[in-house]
Amino acid sequence: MNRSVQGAGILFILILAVMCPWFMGKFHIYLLTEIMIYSMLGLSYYLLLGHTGLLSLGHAAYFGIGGYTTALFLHGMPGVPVSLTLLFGAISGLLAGFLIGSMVLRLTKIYFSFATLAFGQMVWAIAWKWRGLTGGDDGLTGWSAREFVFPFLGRFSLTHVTFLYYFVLLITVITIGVCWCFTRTPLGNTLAAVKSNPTRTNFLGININAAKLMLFGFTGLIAGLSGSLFILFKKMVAPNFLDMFMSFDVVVMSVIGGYSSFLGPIVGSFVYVYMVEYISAVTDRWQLIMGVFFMLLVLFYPKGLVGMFKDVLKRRIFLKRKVCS
Amino acid sequence: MTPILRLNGVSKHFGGIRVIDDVNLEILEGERHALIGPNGAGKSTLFNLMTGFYSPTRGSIHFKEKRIDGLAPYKIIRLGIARSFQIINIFKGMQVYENIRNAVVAKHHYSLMFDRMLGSLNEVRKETEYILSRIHLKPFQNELAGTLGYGQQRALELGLTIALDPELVLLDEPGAGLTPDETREIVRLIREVTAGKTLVIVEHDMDVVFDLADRISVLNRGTILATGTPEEIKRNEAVKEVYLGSLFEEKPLWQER
Amino acid sequence: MESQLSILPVLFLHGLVYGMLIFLVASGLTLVMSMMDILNFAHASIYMIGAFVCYQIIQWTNSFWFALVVAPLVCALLGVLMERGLIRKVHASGHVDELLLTFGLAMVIMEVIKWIYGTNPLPVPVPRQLTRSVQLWSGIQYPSYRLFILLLSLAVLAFLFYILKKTRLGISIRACVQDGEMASALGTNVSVVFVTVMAIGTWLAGIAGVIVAPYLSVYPGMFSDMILDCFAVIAVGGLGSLGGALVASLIVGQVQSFGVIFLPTISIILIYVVMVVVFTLKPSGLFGKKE
Repeated sequence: MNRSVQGAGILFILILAVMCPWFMGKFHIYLLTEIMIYSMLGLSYYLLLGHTGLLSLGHAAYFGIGGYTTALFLHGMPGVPVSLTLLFGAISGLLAGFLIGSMVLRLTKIYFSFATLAFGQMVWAIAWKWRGLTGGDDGLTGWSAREFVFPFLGRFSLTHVTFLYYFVLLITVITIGVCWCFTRTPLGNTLAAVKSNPTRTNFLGININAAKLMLFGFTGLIAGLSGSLFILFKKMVAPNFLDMFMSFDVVVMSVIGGYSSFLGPIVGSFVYVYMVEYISAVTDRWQLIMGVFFMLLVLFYPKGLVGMFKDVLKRRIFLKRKVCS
Repeated sequence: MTPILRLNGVSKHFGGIRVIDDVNLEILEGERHALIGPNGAGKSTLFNLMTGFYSPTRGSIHFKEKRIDGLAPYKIIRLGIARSFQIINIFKGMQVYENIRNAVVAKHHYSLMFDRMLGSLNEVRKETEYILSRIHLKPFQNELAGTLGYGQQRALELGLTIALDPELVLLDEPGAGLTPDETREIVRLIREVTAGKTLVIVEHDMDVVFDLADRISVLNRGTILATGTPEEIKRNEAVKEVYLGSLFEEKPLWQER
Repeated sequence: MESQLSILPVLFLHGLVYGMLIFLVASGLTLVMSMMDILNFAHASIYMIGAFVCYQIIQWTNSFWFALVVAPLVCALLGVLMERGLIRKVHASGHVDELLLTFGLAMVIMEVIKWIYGTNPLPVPVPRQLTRSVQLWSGIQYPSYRLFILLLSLAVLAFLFYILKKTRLGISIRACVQDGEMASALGTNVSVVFVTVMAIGTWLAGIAGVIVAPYLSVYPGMFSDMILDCFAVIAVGGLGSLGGALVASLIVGQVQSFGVIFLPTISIILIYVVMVVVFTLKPSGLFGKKE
């Protein structure tokens, strides 16, 4: 797929996204907003798994930490501007990424995955038990902040579905751009090299541990930010935002879209949210169905939807070449 | 000439096995030093010790008078040592261009940079292209390294080592598995790219060894049997015993087809 | 003061009992992990299935002892099916896909159990023969059921030890743990050994599930509680080392037992603190072999 086709495609999707509220009902706008937040979370996960090959099973921890931090500021300091609370949420994700990352980065594959699961559970346990801080399994809700102040543009109500949609769209687009650039920096390239051949990367004189630590911080930041947006969107936070099932959902979304592709999480969250929406309308057992669907994908088509699309394209190009020659 | 690398009484034990036993070795600056010996003598282990992949059980290693044993590999590499691998260890999933670029970026200490795009670093691009042309892989720069022919992968392996512009180059059987023509090519390449540097090369092909080396060390069962010029080594009785006959008879396996 | 001190040996016994329970599950897990180089999250699910099957059998037959015999066999069968049917398929695709699959399987199993049995803990009665307490020494009473758990697990441990040290199968297993390729080259049918270890491991997990049922009751969260204790054991005891797993299980058991009483607010994260300390000091565990 050449550059201009890609560029046109992106532009098309952007225009479509901006125009959505005109021809879609509130229900779909609500879903799309959720999809975009999950896309951000999924993208931060892609940087770990797809790009660097690190299978983290506790990624929801950063999502939740960001959410709880923002909620705590909104709850505990009513005068604070919402934008600042989002910033704090993102920073808490960054710090959590550094902290947990520093403890797991030396671990090899199996240990690493297990350890991330353990830390994820630990964060959940703290959120669940520390009633004084986090409200326990009731969570936190009911803060008084109702509006978001944009310099020059005015005040916007946080309960306004369309405003939230555009706000999240803006942040999502910026995040996608930043993540894309990240993969093209020397650091991003180093991480890709680590995935390809960690021994050789080491023997090129590269400090792999430092690179990984920076990665953990960055992905924590993005995940924390998405978590902060999420709690604004849902108007509450609860321990199930960072439990094992949430971490699993992140993995499911990645696998549906294709966990090795940059676009994978974006496509994956779209399909996931709509699937869950329609399945849960029919049965309560949607988590079970999604779990089985996930296992089938891993067994038979781990490249996901984006992988499927790429394969189709390759075949068409191959056939074209055959015909032309 | 001063020694650029010194191993003092270096031993490496794995469990009860002494893979390397009290090795004393000096590599002089600017020389081409060959390390030969039967299979299992411990030559690759020595490389692993020199580059920090293993820590010596006993003894010390000094690079340019600075003690390096116990340091992490990446720190040792940064001091100016680079190695190639006996079993090809390239980035198979990345393009040839990207392979060399990884090394160039590392050499410039840009590996952790995140505030600029890789594509905008012009000096990296130029250097990568230069190295690619030196190892004659420029026409294949966009191919995935894993799809290259064996000889070309060997050249890439060499290229990754050279791209770091090290002072001390450690080559572990750079000609393993190559045809006579390819071997001649790679020896010529090695001569070219290691000019002005210190080279330690592990090799089985005696023609290559006698062609390239200023001095030779013979390793057997983890100890150095002898160190000296090619002439001295040819005449050494202990060495002859180990090789069951004169060194000229020692042929690499593939020639015995 | 007298009564306060007397709590210590009881706590120690509790820790011992819980530690042995963990060991029953973790032993199978560590063997499989080090031999086949995969992390089977669903191993802890088998433990949970053992508990639920036990509950179901008791509902049908009212016999704990019958459940003790049958449920572990069901678990062993499930273990073999899991290995043959799923894990093999995905082994070739690499570590990531394997881990994803077993993690997904564990999630699915949890969902199925929630579907059939709901989320509330289900009580399983202690068998009639073991409901009394036993006088241990100087006035300390201890529930005989818990002593039974201890004795049964020690018996199983002895049995395991015997198999590994004295039988040909055991030697094959140890060879495969050390170096699977070498063992295969020397003629061991590695594939058969794998299945056998899987069967034994899941059988043990099933036993653990049955005997824990009257002790802690039966609930879907058993999976996450056990997987984390297992992980703590493997982290502290190292991969592939049964001796290490045993020592670590006993340590973890004591930490949980004493932690709940003396440090209740942080008891839930106490085990993570232990793991973090071990990780930072020695990433391959206290007994494990270096990567």
